[in-house]
Amino acid sequence: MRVTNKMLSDNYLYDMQTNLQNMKTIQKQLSSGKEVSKPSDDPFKVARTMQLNTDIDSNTQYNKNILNASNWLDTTDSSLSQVGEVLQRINEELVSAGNAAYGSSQRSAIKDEINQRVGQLSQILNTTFDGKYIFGGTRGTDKPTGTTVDVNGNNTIDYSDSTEPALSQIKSSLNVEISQGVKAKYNVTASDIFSYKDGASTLAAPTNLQDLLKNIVNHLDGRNADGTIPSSATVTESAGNTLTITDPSGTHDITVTLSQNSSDSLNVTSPDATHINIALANTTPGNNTIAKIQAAVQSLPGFNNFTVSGSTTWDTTATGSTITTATVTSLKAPVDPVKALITGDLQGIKDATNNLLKIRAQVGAMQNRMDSAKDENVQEKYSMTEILSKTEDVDYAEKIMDFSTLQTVYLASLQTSSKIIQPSLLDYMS
Amino acid sequence: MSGLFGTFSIATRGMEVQQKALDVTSHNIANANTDGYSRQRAVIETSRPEGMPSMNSIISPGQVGTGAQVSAIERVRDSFMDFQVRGQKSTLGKYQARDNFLSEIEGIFSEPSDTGMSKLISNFFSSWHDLSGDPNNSNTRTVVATSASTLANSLNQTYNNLQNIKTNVQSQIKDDIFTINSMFKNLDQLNQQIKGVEISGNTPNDLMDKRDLLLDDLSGKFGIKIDKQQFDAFNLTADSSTSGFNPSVNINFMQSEDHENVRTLSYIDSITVNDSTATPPTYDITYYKKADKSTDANKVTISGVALDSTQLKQLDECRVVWADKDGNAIKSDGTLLGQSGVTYNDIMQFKPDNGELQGYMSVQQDVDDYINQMNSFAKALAFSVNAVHTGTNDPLTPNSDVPNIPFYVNSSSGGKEEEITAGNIAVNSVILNDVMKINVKSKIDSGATDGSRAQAIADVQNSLLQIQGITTATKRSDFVTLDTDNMTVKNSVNGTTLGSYFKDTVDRLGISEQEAQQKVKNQNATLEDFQQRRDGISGVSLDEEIANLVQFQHAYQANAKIVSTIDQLLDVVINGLKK
Repeated sequence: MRVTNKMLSDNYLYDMQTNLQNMKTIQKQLSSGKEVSKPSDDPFKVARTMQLNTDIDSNTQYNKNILNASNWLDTTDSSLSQVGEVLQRINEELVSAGNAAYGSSQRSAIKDEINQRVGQLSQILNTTFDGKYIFGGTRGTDKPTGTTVDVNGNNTIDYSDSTEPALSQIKSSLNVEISQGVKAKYNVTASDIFSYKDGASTLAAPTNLQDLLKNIVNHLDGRNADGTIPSSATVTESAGNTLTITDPSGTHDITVTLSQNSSDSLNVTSPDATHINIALANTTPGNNTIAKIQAAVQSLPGFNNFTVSGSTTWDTTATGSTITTATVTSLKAPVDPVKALITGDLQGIKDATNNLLKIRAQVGAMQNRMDSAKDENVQEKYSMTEILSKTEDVDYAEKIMDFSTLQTVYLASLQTSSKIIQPSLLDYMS
Repeated sequence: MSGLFGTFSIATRGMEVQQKALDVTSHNIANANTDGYSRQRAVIETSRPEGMPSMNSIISPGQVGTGAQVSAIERVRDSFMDFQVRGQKSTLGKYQARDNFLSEIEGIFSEPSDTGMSKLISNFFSSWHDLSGDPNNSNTRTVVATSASTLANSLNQTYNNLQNIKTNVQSQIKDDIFTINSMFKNLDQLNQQIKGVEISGNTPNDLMDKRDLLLDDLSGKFGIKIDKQQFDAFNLTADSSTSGFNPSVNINFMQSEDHENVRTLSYIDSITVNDSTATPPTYDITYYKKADKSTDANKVTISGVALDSTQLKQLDECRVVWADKDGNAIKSDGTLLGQSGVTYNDIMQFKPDNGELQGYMSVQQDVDDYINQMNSFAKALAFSVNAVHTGTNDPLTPNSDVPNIPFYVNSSSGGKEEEITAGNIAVNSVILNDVMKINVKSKIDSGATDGSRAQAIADVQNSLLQIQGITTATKRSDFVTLDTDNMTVKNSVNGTTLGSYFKDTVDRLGISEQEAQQKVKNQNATLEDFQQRRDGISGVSLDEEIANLVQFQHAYQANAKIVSTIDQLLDVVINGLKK
């Protein structure tokens, strides 16, 4: 092929352009530290880079979530430990209240302290973290519990709003996403702490702390669980030779067996659980019937207050039927408030404490889970950052080698071209 | 003629010939660096010899030569190399045009970076995560509203920039067509001049060089086809996009005979809706004759053309039509198109396979694709976020448990949700004015710190949605189904996540641009190769010319020597023979 001077210089220009292009690319890579600066440089790498960046951002967000949940759980844990202390103290008080030597004034002092404890319990359950009540479920902007003073001047604790929908809001759980698609519940609600046993709660058989604490203060006052003064059954005479024994609390079975030594028939009926009628067919009742009934009943434990009221026409000394003995069987003793303190109430506090320990264990497990999630998260971020760096970052050693090679090529092309392009036949013509 | 004077005239003739050869050589040297110049050579041959047998001539030995003459000045050019170079130039033009605009589009997306839309999408969903943990706090709500706005603004901006690019491409096409039409005129003048010179018996070398240079430039714009006619005149037409014409119709842009009656190209400036209720809708097409927008006298409007969506797209991307010598659009049989009663198939679009024009037309298709993908993305974002935000997948049947406030709306007046595009998506102004109206809880009567709906919106980042199937007619209920809790979006079987879809778009852009860059690089190398070969044949080598210079100089000196010798001999004859 015939070669002209213009071809030589064109060649040089073209190759010089190529060299400069290559040097420009390397310069950009070295100064930015990244292998790719736009998608066309290497579409596969850019796609990978974008994906990794998105994943790292998600990972950072999950880290934030885990951190928030961890802090929340720490606050929960310290609050629960305070609740445990309160229950422990109440436990000790109850045990000491069962001391037979304690009289009502000591019990009154204990009751005052327990009232304070109830207030303290409500305060602990109203702990806040980051502006939200941690035991309030999804109703975290309002206090979950509150205390009220009842008719007897005692503190009772309950939800601040027991109506729907507030109650289900307080009971609902809060979830946090700790990694893609993985949600964890991280809150404890006031109702978890209140309800320590399954089943509906009544004052007689409490399954939640509100009722249990009400029982305790009332029992310390010497009252029944519902705040009423314990009363005893009464015997009244009603028309038609009928003695009526009434138990106002309505929870006791009363069976009276009268034995007599006459042929008069004795009719004992019980119209309902609170009344029992004793009717003698003989119109002349024997003497000391009421006293005998009274004595028989009073001999039973817990019935030393058994009294008889009404007329005493039955207590005559007329001849005729004679009631010789009266036995009372199957009579349920009303609960002695003070006794109840060390039986049912103490058991209740123990159950409540066990429940609290169970909740604390769960919180501890959740904290462990958060810790391991955080570790995993950090590890994941580390690997992804490493892959990202391998994908898009420049290996300086390699690049600088490439650059110096290119530079050599460029200088060589400049030098040789200058030697080839310049001389021509004109130089040698005289 | 014999005798000394005969010899004298041989020498003189010889000197003339060498002088002419020197002229040609100096012309070559002067044009050593001229673009498109092919070197010329003087073809020297012997002049007609004496001694042809006839009545008047003396029978004497030999046929005596009578010297030399320059029979022609030859231009050294291989037209096959021209054909090859032009082919490569067309291909290069196409890919260069694509490369230019695709790299602009890359700049619009500006990925990978910390400020690209991929990061904004991550930020948007992160803000919902934060909100779900802190729903009652107005700060977190404000962050959600601002990051949502930023994302919507970025979508708007990308859309606008892409539309601008489309406008730029179209204006490039217009400028190109205007240039091409004026090139046709110049070529025609040269063609006729060349024909004129050839008829008179000479070779118009420099004019032919000029014509070839223009043809080279033209081939960069679209693939050309040349038919050689008598007297070295050419007929010029395109090498593709001519099949729609009837066989006998004239499709030459330049021709040798009847050179005024040629075709030109005109540019469609706008296609506006005439009647959108008809099926298919009708449009008014306005074109400028020969793409000359300097005066409105060149404007021609064709009204009431029925176009379906594919045809509209084709016309919008192509924009160039065959026209007669004055620029009026023509039909396949060569008659004028008229201004009414025109159908799509009557319009003869000029769609070359090669060259810059094809590059610009195909880039428009790419831009249209990217615009559609952005629109689908915007619609998918709006639908999915709105569905979870309002608890229902149909805006016309609201969920009574959740306030019916859509999060993303169509910001054009009276705009419907299914007409959301990347250009008009915006955050609902109700939410921007009062961030407490953002729905974060599962029901109206849920607690104030219930962030489960916000969490569900954050989870949309990982939901698989059928984004690729979205069309302009898709409604929210076609696209999203919610789970029974009215908060979780159900995954679609062949769906992708929002982030993946956007990444795919950028990916495809990167691959197209990389392909264009590679092709440009390769084409440059190939073209360089062919051009070198052509230069090898037609280029001026200074060394060679200098050698020729020496050669002709010596020959001239030798011929001059003969003259002086003859002069001395004549002196002997005239002055020496008789005193």
